[in-house]
Amino acid sequence: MAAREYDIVIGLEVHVQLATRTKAFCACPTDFGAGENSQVCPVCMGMPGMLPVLNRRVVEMAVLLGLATGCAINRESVFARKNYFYPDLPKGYQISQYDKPLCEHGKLPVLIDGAWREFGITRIHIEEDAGKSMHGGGGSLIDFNRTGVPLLEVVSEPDFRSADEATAYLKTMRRLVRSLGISDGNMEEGSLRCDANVSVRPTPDDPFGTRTELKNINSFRFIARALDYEAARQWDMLQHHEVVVQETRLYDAEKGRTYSMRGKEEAHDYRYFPDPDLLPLIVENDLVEQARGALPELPWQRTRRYMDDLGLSAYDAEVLTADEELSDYFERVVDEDVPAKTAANWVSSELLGALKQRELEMASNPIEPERLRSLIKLVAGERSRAKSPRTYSPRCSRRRTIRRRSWRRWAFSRSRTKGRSPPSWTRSSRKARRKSSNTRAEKRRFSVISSAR
Amino acid sequence: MPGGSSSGSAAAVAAGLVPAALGTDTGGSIRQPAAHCGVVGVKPTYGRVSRWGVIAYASSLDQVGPFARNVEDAALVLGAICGHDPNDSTSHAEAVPDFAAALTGDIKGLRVGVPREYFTDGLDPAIERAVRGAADKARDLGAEVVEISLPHTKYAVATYYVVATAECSSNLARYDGVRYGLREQASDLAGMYTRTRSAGFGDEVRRRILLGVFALSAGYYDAYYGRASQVRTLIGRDFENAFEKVDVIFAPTAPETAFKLGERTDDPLKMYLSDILTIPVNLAGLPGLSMPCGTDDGGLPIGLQVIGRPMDEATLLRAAHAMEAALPPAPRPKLGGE
Ligand SMILES: [Zn+2]
Repeated sequence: MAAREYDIVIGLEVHVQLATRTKAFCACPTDFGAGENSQVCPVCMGMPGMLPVLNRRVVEMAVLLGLATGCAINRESVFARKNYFYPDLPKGYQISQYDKPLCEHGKLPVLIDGAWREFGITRIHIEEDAGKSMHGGGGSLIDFNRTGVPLLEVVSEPDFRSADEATAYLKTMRRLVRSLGISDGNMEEGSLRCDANVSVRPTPDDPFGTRTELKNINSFRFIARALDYEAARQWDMLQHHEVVVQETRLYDAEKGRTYSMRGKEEAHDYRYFPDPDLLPLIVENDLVEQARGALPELPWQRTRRYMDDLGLSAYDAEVLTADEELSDYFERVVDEDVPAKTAANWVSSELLGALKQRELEMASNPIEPERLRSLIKLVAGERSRAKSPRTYSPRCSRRRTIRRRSWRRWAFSRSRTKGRSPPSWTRSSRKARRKSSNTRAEKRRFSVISSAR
Repeated sequence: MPGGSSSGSAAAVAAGLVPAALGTDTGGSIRQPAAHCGVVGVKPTYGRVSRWGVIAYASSLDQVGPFARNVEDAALVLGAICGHDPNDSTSHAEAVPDFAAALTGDIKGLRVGVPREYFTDGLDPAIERAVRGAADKARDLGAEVVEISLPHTKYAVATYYVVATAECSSNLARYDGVRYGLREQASDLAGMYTRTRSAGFGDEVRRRILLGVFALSAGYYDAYYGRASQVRTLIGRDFENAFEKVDVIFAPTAPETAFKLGERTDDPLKMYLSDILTIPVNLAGLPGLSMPCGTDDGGLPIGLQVIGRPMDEATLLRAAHAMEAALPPAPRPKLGGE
């Protein structure tokens, strides 16, 4: 990384949309892509006389994430009303948590350039989502399907010193929520949303500079660009003896720049106060202990295991644990005849390369792990018959191109002749597969926890 | 003026149009109209009756309760409306006793507290006489009457008007012209909100919204809402201490009997102060009722307020029922044609 002439300080606020079957405070379903305003009821529409009732599963999921990140779980937390007017907020307030959040003081281990780093998590709290406004055509329309869908807001410490660190943290967070089965972590669909607080200072020894809040950086594709742009903008201002104002800014991905949304003087006064419709949330020991028992192997634990037990390089371990489905797949390829290193090479370069070329995601990978395993064995057998002295390594193989073409033809054709329908590459079917695998994961992980609703 | 926001229900019961009716009591809106109309009105313990379907004013204070012409009818209606509702997170899971069966007529040994702070300067002497007279009757029936102190009573009105208006400002935010009801056209969103809400809310509602928004604002929260919540705790503790010594509390319901239409509405502060005797019960979440206990010189009904321990409506009703037999019946209004 090129040396920068200034120090960046970044803190992230990540919103995780929870994959519950029903909304946070009513019984409406949360299915993505349903017809506009088809998943609403008098409660989430904010009709007079309606009252919220907390979905127990939201608490269970929040506790899971809290435990996974080493947070203290506050046995008593308080729901607060965040008051502001906006047409997609039917009650005129959002139910959230304010001075007494459910989880506090955690950390997230992140592997960056082969080294482990820990980034602080200030708090995790429960809140409800707002609806979606659509403007144009001479008016505005609102879809309330998303209103009341549960979110976890994960607030980090201002621990990131580069956009890359922030991006790596966000990627790890995405892996974590997916492996916990609490969210599909899809940024494009808004299941994972990110706001960032950015400031700059001449050196790490200087006090923090004035920060701006950057909203709408909802894609891994441009998060680093947005953060770098904003930091450079601030530094440029300081170089010209201008004052950075504390304000909320939006990132425009098309123009690649940020612009002011509202200044501090027009900042909302949300008038938070404890929601009198909801009692303080008391989390019993049982719930915490059951959640602790239901914790799966966490992404960084898996990464460490791949490095320490399987002897993989940090790079391979990181690639293979970037995605739950990918690591599950990889582990099914490995057996006594196919060592981890060999399987890792095949999966991380050959398989991923083939999928990438066909613009397929892991979820729609048509090659069964057993098929890849037998292919690896075949290749190994062929090589031993040819008495090749060279140990197999797909990365440096001279015959790699030829071999890759032929095995791909073989694998793809076999999967078709077997009567399997060719993979559908449409977005909706990928989504559907992801959804169904999530639901399974959720069911499995929560089978030990009784559900109130 | 029948007094209070549920006064229509009280007037209907007093006029004999219906045997019983429901109302909501946030700061006395069941008990004060009951006092002014000469009927029985019960505000149950907070959480006894579901608030599901009730248009919220101040959610931590609002409670539904019955009006009836006598204590037994009120007990029957109360028994029917009490109970746990999974739709209301603040609703109590505790079982509902048979309130009518609790009306034994016997209050021998019952300890009745009379709080000295409820007999202040502004109290109509006729009301003081009637309420103290009721306490004497209780003693005649075998109850033990003692004077008690509820020292934080003087802060109740200020506390109430911070808590209630704060909650009200948030509860009424949904009436924004977006999804239903009145909508005034404007060229932008802020204009639509401003015009709709200015047109739709009356002066008193707007006054309360403004007070509530102020009490919750950044920089003022601690001094107003935060402080009010602390004082609320102290008011609740006053009652806890008192209920270590007594089983029920007897007090006046309102400082004055009914006033004439339009007589007070020009002075909101004086209006607010007339709630002083009923508000502490809402702040503490306790059950309370008002029942007739005599008339003033003009023949207008006077209310005796009976306050009970949390969830102990049964004792409250038993005391009221025994007193009902010993006290003069309330005058019935003369309606046109009678
Ligand atoms: Zn709903």
